[in-house]
Amino acid sequence: MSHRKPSFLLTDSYDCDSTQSSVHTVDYERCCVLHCAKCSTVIADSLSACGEAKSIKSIICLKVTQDVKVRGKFEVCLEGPLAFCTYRVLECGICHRSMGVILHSTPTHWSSLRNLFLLRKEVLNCYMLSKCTVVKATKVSFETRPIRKNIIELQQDLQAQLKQVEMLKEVLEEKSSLRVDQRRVRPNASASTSRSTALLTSGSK
Amino acid sequence: EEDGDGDAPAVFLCGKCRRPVGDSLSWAGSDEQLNQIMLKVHDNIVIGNEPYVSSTRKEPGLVVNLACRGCGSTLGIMYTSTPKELDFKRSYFCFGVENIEYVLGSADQQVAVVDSKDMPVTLELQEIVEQQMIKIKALAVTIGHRLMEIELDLQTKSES
Ligand SMILES: [Zn+2]
Ligand SMILES: [Zn+2]
Repeated sequence: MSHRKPSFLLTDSYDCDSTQSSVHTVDYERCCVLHCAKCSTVIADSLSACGEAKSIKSIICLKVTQDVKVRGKFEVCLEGPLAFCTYRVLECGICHRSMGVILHSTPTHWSSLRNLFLLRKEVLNCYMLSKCTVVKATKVSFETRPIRKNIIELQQDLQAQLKQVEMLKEVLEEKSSLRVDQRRVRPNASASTSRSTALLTSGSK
Repeated sequence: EEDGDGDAPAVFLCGKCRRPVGDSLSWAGSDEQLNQIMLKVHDNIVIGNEPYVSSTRKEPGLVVNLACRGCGSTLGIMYTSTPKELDFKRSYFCFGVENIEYVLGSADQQVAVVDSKDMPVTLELQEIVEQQMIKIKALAVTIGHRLMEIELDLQTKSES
């Protein structure tokens, strides 16, 4: 699962950006509030959503409101997507409808979802801020961003540039040594000039 | 209510059935004397069709009642006709602030104190990281262009 905090985000450095004047403001226009579809009680909001667990059609939430009640009893699942997990059921504190689960113990593939609120999309409505509309949560995507993929791409871009810089440095060094050579022996200069142009053309691709 | 994120928007809920009826992003003004806020009117609200004379001010205007689409209870009023001094309220949803509101980000029930190593990345944070990455990528493109220029420059100089 890719929604665990990467190490460079472990501190709160994202909100104390010292070099940029642009403060990271949350785009509230795209936020939503999750309501119980039966009784409209506020359950959570998109600020604490961390993604989606598609196989159980649930939204992964870090925090929920105090109106969500965790049932005391641990239950065990022996089949289906949550097979071999123990969990506690979440319910709406007002209408007592089951809202989802909190996983307590899990096989490896679910371990990143332990201790988080997994809220079933089909029992939730979304109030979309600024649009002021209520839609079914099943119609809204809470998918994670491909951050890992983007970081790898950026890293590759930068590595290619570093190569180019090194190549240019090599060419410059060659040129300056060429100048020294030229002062001493003139006729030998043509050979290394053609080599440096070859380097230049191979590097521009 | 202002701890943490002071500028987080509030969602206003029907006092009876808790359905969301608007939010502070569609804020259109306020009347502190009457403890009233003005919001833009939208689908969650049923606009009454019988205007009556409002007598809350010296100079009355014509108002209609606004009701919750979910339960039908009256949420506020909307001026359809106003004297000059009340023009700022015309065609807006005048809502009493004594109704319930939910401030975005105020949900505070967490399972256990998840230690920071295991803290999942919220979609909001992912978005911030993504935006910064777009900026860095743009920088990388600029650097790439500069390098290309230097390369061409060196090439023409070595040819001449
Ligand atoms: Zn409920
Ligand atoms: Zn209502």
